[in-house]
Amino acid sequence: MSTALKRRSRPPAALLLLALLAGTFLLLPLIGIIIRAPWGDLRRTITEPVVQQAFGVSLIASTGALVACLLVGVPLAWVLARVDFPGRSLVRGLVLVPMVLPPVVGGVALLLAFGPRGMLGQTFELMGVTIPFTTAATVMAATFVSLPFLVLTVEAAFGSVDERYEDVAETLGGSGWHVFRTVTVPLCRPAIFSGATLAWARALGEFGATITFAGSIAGVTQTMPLAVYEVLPTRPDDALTLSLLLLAISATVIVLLRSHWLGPLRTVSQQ
Amino acid sequence: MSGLSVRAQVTLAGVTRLDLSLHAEPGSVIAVVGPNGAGKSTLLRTVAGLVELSTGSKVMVDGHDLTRAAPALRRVAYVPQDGALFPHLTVLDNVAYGVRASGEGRRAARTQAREHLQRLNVADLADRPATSLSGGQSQRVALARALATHPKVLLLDEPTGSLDAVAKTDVQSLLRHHVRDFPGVTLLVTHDPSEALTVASRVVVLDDGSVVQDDTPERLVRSPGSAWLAKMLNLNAWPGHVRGRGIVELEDGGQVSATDLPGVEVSVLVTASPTSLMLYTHKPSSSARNAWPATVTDVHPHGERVRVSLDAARPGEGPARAVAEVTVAAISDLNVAPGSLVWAAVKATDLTVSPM
Repeated sequence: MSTALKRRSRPPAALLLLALLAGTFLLLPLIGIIIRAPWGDLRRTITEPVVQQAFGVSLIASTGALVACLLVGVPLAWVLARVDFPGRSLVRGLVLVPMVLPPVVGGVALLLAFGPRGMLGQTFELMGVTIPFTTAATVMAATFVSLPFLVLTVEAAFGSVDERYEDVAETLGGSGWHVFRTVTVPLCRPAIFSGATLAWARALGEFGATITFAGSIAGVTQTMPLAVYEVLPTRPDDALTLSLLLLAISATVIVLLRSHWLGPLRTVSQQ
Repeated sequence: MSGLSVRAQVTLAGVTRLDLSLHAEPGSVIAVVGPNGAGKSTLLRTVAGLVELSTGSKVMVDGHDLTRAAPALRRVAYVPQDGALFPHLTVLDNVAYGVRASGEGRRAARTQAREHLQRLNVADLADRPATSLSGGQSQRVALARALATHPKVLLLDEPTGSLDAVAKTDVQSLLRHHVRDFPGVTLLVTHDPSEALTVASRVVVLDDGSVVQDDTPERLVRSPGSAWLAKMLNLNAWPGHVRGRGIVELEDGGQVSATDLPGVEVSVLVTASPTSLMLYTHKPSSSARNAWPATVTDVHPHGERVRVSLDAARPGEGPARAVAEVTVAAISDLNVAPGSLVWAAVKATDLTVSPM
């Protein structure tokens, strides 16, 4: 990156001290999980049904949410970045609301929309489809909270693509869809990767909307975070094992994201 | 009617950006020049179908009305400044892109792309990432990519604008050879007068969105129609009015003697090549009808000669500003340096007077 000579300076002691405090505050609880994890018993706890079921439900919920985000989030990001329509900035803001909304409220909102007496729920009910308190509901709850992360990241990338590439591709005979697939998306690939990873990680950690809209039914809607909360008072070892799993997954994702996918993103934005 | 016909009206945010008509025969190379903001790039984007046109506009290629056609269906190849090669593809796949888009399979497209790279002498770059090329190489590959689609119109937006001197010469000779062989119409936007004059068979001068001059390079040099164009051609350009008796009163307050003047009070542009200006240490007794004392403001090399910028020493005598181009030997003989006082002279017959 920068090849500038290193500046010789002594960092102020007060800054160092406060920075150390922040670092310790963030890392100490994580180290706590690692130290207190039932390492000797791990082989047993990891095969406990509650752990395995929660892992399975979480995998379905987060992966389902990821697929849904890519399928509809990338097109939404493109429309927000490229199509001029009245009220665009309002829609842009509203789309991001689930990011800051307390997830429990998100769950209530989903119930109101898709619940038995909800706006669309009644229609579904007539068709014999019940959504709340099913695995599909965990996917929907996870999608609801994670979609804004993908849209935000990808929209910025779509907005900053040098449009000359698309212009040239069009004059070379590419139709709109062809150009989107062969030029726009590849140019935004780093942003789509990091947006997808962020969304997936958010889906994995989802709690509030899920417990409200899908409940915490073991093997059906009980994701890993829900299981941690439920078994902590009675079976702390299982809760710690689940926490360790979540920590390991999060750490892996963040390391991959920083070294592998954010790297190319930085170089692209510098061109 | 074969070739390219454009009748373009482009308005952006209530401001007219382009309002012109243009026709070009197949095989012709037209240089489009003009000051910044004159509408050169807008003209290219209009032909490519990348801008919204006002009603009454029309773009025809070989008798087909393309006004409402999508860019993909126009067979108009557009090469933006610095080439705009796709950064995520190799050189070969860049050139193959248009061939693929026309429905060819990957293998056939790559074979054709390789042939086009070969034709432009850059076949050895085929497997390199497009981002690893120099400016000159990028232009060659961008041209190959455009020609690979067998377009009917080729649009080049300042192909040498961002190149260093060596790469510029290289790309200009490439343009002379390959663009002149191109059977379709070429529109070449450029800021470089030598490029416009040596590559193109016709030069269109734009200003404020309309055509102000449309001539062969030879005629353009002989009588540039605007001060901007004269400056671009490195000529001295002095706007003024004819006062009668062979005198032109200049807008900067000076006056010059010239021949072949139009009627009295006609607005004219007087131009003079810097090489036709002579410098003396004392008032010349030569036959030059125009001689005036001047202060040297700048001396800088220009090829094998030296350009001397002059400000009139006495207001009203001679043009207020002028540039003379003399030999290095003359500079040392005259002992010219910024600040020194000289006499400048130019023959009345060396001045070109064009009505404006």
